[in-house]
Amino acid sequence: MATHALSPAAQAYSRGTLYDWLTTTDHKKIGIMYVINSFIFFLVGGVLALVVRTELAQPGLQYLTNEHVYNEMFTMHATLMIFVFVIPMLAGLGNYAVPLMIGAPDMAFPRINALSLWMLPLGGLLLISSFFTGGSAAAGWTSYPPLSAEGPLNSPGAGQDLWIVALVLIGTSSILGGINFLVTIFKMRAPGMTLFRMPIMVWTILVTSVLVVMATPVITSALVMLFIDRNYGGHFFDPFQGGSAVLYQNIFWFYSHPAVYVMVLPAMGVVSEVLPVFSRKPLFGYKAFIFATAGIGALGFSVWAHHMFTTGAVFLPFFSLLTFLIAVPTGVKMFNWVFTLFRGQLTFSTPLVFALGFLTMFLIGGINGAFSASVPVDFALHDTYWVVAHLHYVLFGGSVFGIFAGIYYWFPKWTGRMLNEGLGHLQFWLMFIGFNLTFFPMHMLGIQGMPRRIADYASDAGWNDWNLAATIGGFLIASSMLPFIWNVFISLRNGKVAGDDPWEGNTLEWATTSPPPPYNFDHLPEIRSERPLFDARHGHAGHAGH
Amino acid sequence: MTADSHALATTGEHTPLAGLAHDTRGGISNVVLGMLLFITSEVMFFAGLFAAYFNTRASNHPWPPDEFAHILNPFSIILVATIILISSSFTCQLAVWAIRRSDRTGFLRNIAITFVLGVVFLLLQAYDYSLLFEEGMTLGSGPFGTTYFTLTGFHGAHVFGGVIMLGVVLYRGMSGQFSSRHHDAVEAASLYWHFVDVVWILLFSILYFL
Amino acid sequence: MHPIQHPRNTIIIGGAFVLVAAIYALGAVPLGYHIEWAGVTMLAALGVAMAIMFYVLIAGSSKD
Repeated sequence: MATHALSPAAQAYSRGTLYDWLTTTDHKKIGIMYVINSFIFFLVGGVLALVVRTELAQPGLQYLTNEHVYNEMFTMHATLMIFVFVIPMLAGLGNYAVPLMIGAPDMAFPRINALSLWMLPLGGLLLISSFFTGGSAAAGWTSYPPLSAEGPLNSPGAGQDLWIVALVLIGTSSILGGINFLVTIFKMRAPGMTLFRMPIMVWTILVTSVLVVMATPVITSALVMLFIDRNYGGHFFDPFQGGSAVLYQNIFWFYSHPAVYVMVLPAMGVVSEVLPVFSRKPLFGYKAFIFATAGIGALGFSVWAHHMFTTGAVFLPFFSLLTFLIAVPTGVKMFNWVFTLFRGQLTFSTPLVFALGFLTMFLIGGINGAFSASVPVDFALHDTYWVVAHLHYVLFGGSVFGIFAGIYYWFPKWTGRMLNEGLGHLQFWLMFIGFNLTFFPMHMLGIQGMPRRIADYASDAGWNDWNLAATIGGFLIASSMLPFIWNVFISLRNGKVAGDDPWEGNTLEWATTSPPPPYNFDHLPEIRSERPLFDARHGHAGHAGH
Repeated sequence: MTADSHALATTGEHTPLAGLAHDTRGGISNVVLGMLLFITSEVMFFAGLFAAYFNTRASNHPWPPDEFAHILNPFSIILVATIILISSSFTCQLAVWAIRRSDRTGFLRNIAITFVLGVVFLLLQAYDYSLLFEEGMTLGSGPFGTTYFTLTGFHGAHVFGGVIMLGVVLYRGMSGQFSSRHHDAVEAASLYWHFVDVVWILLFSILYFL
Repeated sequence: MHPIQHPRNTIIIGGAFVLVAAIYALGAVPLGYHIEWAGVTMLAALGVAMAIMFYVLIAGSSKD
């Protein structure tokens, strides 16, 4: 049955003291803290974005003292969003969900899990502290030398060095987390849960973890070499001393391209959990989906230099062809999601609404990315607002909407309370409209030639109206955080009690109390397909073919 | 088996069964698997450094530059260091085999020797560095110096980490914490040590012979 | 276990990346570009690392 308590008195499980939370190795508490820490830095990064948008709303340098401060703003906005929000937020959702979904009592290495967690607020604080030590890094999140290298004209302060150290710390946290996920997934699945019966969320975390373990060390090496150039007189990236600035770009993007898949695959995993539950249909093409995910992960390693087409130092046809190829497995996934919804019995709860937002917005992001895959097109659009539009459609329209779908979906499991649907829908619409108002005009701005990373623009370039619209959209996005935060606050205190399985889910996390006991499960249902709870609920085991 | 003991059997770390290097359902221990995956991540870290080396080398001629060409003499102190490191891998593996068959004395002796050899390698590396500094070769002396010291320096740092790991294993071994059924840390440390040795062989060959 | 799951076959995964590295190196000059050694190194190393990773994951898994 869907909602009978499998273990008595769930509410009796102590929420824990502060000391418990600070010293815990329980993946559930750690997962929640990952989510909270990531959300805080989402807000900080969002404020930095508002500073950028406020300055750009009208031509003229009205609010910031000089362009250098502006450069700090967009550098830290992107750095925080990528490294201290999206990547760890998804790791946090995975941290909570994965052991439960595979029927395990915890992650393989609970203490290393805690270590990975606590390195994140530390890294985030290191980044923020740079604002108070003479200015943060200001060379873009990509931090290309020579701008990021030492020297009076470049980035002489401690901010750039703090940035490097923080990222090495955060990267290490990521790598340890990736190893933890891989050992957990491969060694701790409950009996009957073969690899091809795992939920898609677990598969996406698996592939993501492979990417993290393989790619993150490469950016560590780039950062280390940059640090040596900056502080020990090194000559890796200085062309006047036998080095190469393009070398940095190659090593940097060898990580940073797979990193975008790290940022999107788990969000796709969330969507793949939500769509079947709220359309009351199994995911269309489960196996194809897995192979598509693996294909994206593999291809994602071979396309890095499409971020550097215009350097003149790139094997253009190789990267262009492989970049177009990635559209194929991605398209497979889009079709699978759409066919999951098709003829389903849809319930437009907040998780589904955010998942639909993901589908529509990520589709746009994929299409505008395909334009950029063409070398001649990219030569015109590189470093313009077109790229800013693309990256936000996939990372915000994709990852962030996916993240909120996951938060609304799993909040009842984490807390035992439902989030309010009305406030959830309000957040969605404010965010959706604000998002499109902010970023759709950037397609036009890019085509009209507005470069990115500029603090100001000529008032007669014809860019004024779209910039103003984008700023209004930005504040609309910010406003959507108010119903969300209010929702969390009132639901924790007074939300409807969720019970074990409020959504009639398919996967194992719904086969225990909300929140689960520390050891996760008193009893596991029989696992004979990728939908063990559905099978248990409908009195038979078995989904044809598994 | 009841559902509960099924659930328990999956944990590896938290159960009375955790002592086995191999879990009850076959396969290798979580700790050893974790170390192997960590090693693959380290392979990629060195890949980034080697990428910089090959790229830099391809655009700088002559390589090595004339003023430092003579330092790349493999038949010097660096060869001694190489032989020492390779020998230490052998003694490390002897230690693993010893503890697997409950030969605690053999295990302790070989781990201690491995530890000492590791320290000697580091000292020889430091001495070699001092000779190079005297020749005017430093991190800042040019692309050759930068790449040489970065590659060997990070390798040395990894050896240092390995020496610490071996020290911990030696300490735990001396206090009787390992048995033939329960010695994951020894297996993991030895895998890391072999990795460090393989990287050195690669590094030595590429820097000195290629 | 299905034959494709035999641990030795993980070498195919590593081999795929080494193949990509080879194409990246060998395809550049005929098409008028230069060999970009950093990328070649990283892709080849990725092949080695991937082969090791998948071998230990598959061979080291539980046998049920």
